[in-house]
Amino acid sequence: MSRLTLCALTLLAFGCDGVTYEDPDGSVDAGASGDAAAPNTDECSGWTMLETLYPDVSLDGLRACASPEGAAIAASLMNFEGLTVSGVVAADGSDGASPCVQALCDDDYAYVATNALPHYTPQAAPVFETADTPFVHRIPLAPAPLDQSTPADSFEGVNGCDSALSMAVTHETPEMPPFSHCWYETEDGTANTGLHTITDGEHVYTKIHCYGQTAGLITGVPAFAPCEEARPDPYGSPLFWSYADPDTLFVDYCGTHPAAITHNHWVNEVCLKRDETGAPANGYATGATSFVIEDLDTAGCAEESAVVGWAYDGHPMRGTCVCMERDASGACVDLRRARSSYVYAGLSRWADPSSELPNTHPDEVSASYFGRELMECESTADCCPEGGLCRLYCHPLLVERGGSVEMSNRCVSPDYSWCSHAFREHDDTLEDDGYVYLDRCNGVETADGYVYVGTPTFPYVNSCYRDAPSETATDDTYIRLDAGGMGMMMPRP
Amino acid sequence: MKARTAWLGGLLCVGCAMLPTTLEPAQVRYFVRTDWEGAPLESGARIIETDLGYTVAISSFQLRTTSIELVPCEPLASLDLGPTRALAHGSSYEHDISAIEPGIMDDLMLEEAQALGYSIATRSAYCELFSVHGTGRDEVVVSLVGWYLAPGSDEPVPFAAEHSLGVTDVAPLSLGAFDDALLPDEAEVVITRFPARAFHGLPLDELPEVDLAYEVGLALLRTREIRWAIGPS
Repeated sequence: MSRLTLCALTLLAFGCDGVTYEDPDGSVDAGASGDAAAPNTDECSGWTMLETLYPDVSLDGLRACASPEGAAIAASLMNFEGLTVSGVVAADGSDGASPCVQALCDDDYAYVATNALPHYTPQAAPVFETADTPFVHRIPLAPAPLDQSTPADSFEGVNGCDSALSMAVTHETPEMPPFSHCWYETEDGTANTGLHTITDGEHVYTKIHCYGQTAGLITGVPAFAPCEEARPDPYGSPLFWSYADPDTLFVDYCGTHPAAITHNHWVNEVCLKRDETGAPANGYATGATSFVIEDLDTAGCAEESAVVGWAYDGHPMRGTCVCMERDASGACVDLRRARSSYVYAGLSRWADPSSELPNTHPDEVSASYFGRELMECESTADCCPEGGLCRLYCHPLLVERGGSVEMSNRCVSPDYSWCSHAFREHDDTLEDDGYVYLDRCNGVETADGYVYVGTPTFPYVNSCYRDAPSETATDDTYIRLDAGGMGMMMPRP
Repeated sequence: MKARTAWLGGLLCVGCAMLPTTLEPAQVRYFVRTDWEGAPLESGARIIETDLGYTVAISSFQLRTTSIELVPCEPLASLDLGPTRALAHGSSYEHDISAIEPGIMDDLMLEEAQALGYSIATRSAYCELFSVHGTGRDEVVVSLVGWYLAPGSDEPVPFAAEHSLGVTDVAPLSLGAFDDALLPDEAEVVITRFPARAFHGLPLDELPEVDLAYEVGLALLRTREIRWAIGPS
């Protein structure tokens, strides 16, 4: 599909003005013009939030992104010219609106403004309205290292997963995440999940939000952390539910759903693919049909993945096919499928016979539905043969077997995903034919520099920041469900 | 189709002094029908002229209806989806007792109303109709066979489009009437689909078949008309 045209009842639109462009340095599949023409900021509501989010910046002080780094960011963004989407709420409250994403720069940052609307008619179950929501992502033009002397929590020493198991067994839901892998602070500031930083003993990273933006995608829609909040699946991945129950899509198969701000919980490269004008190349159905987790994890890669977003420390996010080595001509000679190094290890592994927490003795845990956790399965009925309060899904994901990693259908809990998954260090990240294993942050040093990868398994997007992020990483404007004055629709039956 | 459902063709209780404001049935029957208005039948195919200038011929058109149910007017008290969903695990959510699960492919080429099923209901007020079309991603939801002529072209482009992505639909129950032929507290709900409207706005020569089937299916759901009638109270 080459050109998009506008139509009222469909998400696809063909007929946008063509813009030709080339990769600025070969490292970014840019796509948009590199002529540094400033966009018309009146056409994107996101700019109205610029000075609220970043009081040290004014729109008058920004200019077109002309530096190689800024141009690469601007060039990677989706071209929405002429596109109107039905089923979304415009800034004036009317039905139907145009998504927007625009970039301007100063000396240090790219500012990517958006109204956070998807480029197709929303497909997630209508719990919330998908509404024009202004936001600006602040992306460093040059990633800067984080001060490694910064005090940090420990990835391996996190507390709270035993508490998570205790509550999962009894179906209690805490008001805030019980663990400290990610950053969350209550609205009144009286409680939080520890420090902003976390370490594996070798490197200090910045935590991502427990449920909030981690990157700006090329659509302008923010990528969100691999957890929901307390409900519906306590601090768990919404992918499991959506994948198991496609007739009540909590998140659609492009990875998007509405909330205080519409966001992506995972990346679907086909949905984010651009044509030669930079416009969306595929409709929702094409993208959704391609979202088959096992297929997205096969070792073979036909072509390099494009940039799909930008994390708040300035590193790009790509799809799963990354180039690890280039020859003198720039041709890729080692194209690999990037795999997360996190495996599903089970929430029940936190059972402890000496724990004083209720319901965490191994006998009690195995007597609950967690007794079938990690069992091989063909359907959810295998995991919950007796029905009732059984919160397991049969889901394809990465697990360990005999010391190696494999994709397998297992009975898994959607809840407390940071606790049910475990990072497995690989002696050589290229050890397995065709794969490259990612680091703690779901990133890797490629032939073109460090990139984060959108993976089909946990953590789906960047799970920490390798370098120092901008303020957007901790901005909490839209991380609470009651934020933004959004319209909430009645949950369907 | 029974004679008493003559109102289904569009007669809204002509002569009634009052129209019912809410649907509060104890039992409900569901029907679907297709209105091919604007799409004459020629050589076994329905011919549609779209707003973008395409001529479309449809020789086969099917839509899967997995379930249909009435939605109570009383909104849920909170967004506490967890326990509700957990209790109903495996069936996605708790159906209202008015739900039926035909699970069939409706043949839209038929013009006569088709009975989908019957269910009891709560006698409380219902405001919307909720339908599910397809579960999982293994069964066909929309199947569409025919050909089209692009604007200015005389070369037919055949298509045999289908998709397997489940979709849902919510529609207000706004068009109500009394029907003396029905029993007290008995209701009939009729969903009328307009295939000729479902192709408007679609650049057919630029859509992959899976998107064609998906977009037509969505448009079919969004342009449908829901009418209901209830027996005398």
